[in-house]
Amino acid sequence: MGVDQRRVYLVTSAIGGALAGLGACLLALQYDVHPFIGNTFGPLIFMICVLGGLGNMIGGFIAAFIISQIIAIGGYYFSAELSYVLAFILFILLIFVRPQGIIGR
Amino acid sequence: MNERRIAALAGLGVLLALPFITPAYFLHLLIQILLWGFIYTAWSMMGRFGLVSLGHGAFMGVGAYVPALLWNYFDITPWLGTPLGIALSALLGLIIGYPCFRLRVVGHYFALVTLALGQVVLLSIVAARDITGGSLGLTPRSIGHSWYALQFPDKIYFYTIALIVWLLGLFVWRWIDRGIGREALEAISDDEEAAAAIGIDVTREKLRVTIVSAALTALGGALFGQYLMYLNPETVSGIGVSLQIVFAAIAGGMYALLGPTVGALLTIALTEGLRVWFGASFVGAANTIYGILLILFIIFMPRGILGWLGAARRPPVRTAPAE
Repeated sequence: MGVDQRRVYLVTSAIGGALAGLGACLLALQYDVHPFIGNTFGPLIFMICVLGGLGNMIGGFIAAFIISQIIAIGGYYFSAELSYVLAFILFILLIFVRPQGIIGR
Repeated sequence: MNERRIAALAGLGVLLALPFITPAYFLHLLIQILLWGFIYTAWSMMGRFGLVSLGHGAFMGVGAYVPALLWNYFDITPWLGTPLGIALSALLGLIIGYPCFRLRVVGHYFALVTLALGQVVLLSIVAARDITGGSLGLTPRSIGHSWYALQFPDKIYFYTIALIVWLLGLFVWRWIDRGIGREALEAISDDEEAAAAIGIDVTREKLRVTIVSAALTALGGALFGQYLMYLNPETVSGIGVSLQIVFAAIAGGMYALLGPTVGALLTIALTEGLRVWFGASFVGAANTIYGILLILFIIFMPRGILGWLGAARRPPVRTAPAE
């Protein structure tokens, strides 16, 4: 078809990296920065993407909202760690029920 | 075959003689290499069949914390606590594995589920900080040299234990490699639907290897805790540990018997070497170089060092299964 695969991959991963960098800049307004900051967010980001359905922007927004609300509300009623535990357990259960994402077909 | 047997015996002889000639620091490294080699071998039992687990820290954490907590709070000897930790870890593998395999959660999704599992265990340990000490870690109550408490100030005891356990790991790996399960599992990792169609019980075969892998990882975790006499959620269950297990096993070569051990040798020699070399003069350089080397390894030797060496010697028998 004449699509330069390598170029497409290169450009998408460059844009992806740039957007992640932008997101991190915005996060730095809220959180304190340290070398291991990626460890806190890495797994969560994966999970939100999968919950929303890979490549599904709207789903991603909804999943991010649900997960962050669980963490925030759980953190208020229980403790910060337990709310994360809750979010991860919910993720595992949702993968079993809806592997295509929450609003996927 | 005979040649290989002689080589194996010679290697074992060297390993038995080493503690008498090496200084304590190198003995410490050897113990770490053997224990990590054992854990990596346990991981590769799943990894080589396409069951990429990013959450083996969960099993290691359960295996390490259960005996230590029982010992600290109830004076229960690790001789009982460790089997209990192993049993709980196997149960955890069953609980997470059964729905995964039943509902055909494979590939990236399986990796993510295990990643989440690792985080669940890690954060649960941190959350139960009144009991486990949280992020500050936990020190098993020390009573000096004791078989009952499995505590030995002298490293030679742990070297022997690590050697035995490592051999056990190799033995189990070979047992899976030689068994009928291997063909079934390879068929599953190539094409799950087809394997199920010809009558392979996909769920059962996968569960078996998962439970074995989880149990052995827990044993490794328990010994690690007993050896270091200090547990920290990040160092037994952290995402760094889970990923390190994956990287090292892949770098060494997960399709070969000694591959994961070579991975352990490589990563520990590398981290220690770079640390000694750079030390405090250029903090962080060691980790950076370590990370870059890992990336290069995975790009240029996807089958690992031993896989690469093996492929250079003879034509490849079987290509690596696709992700």
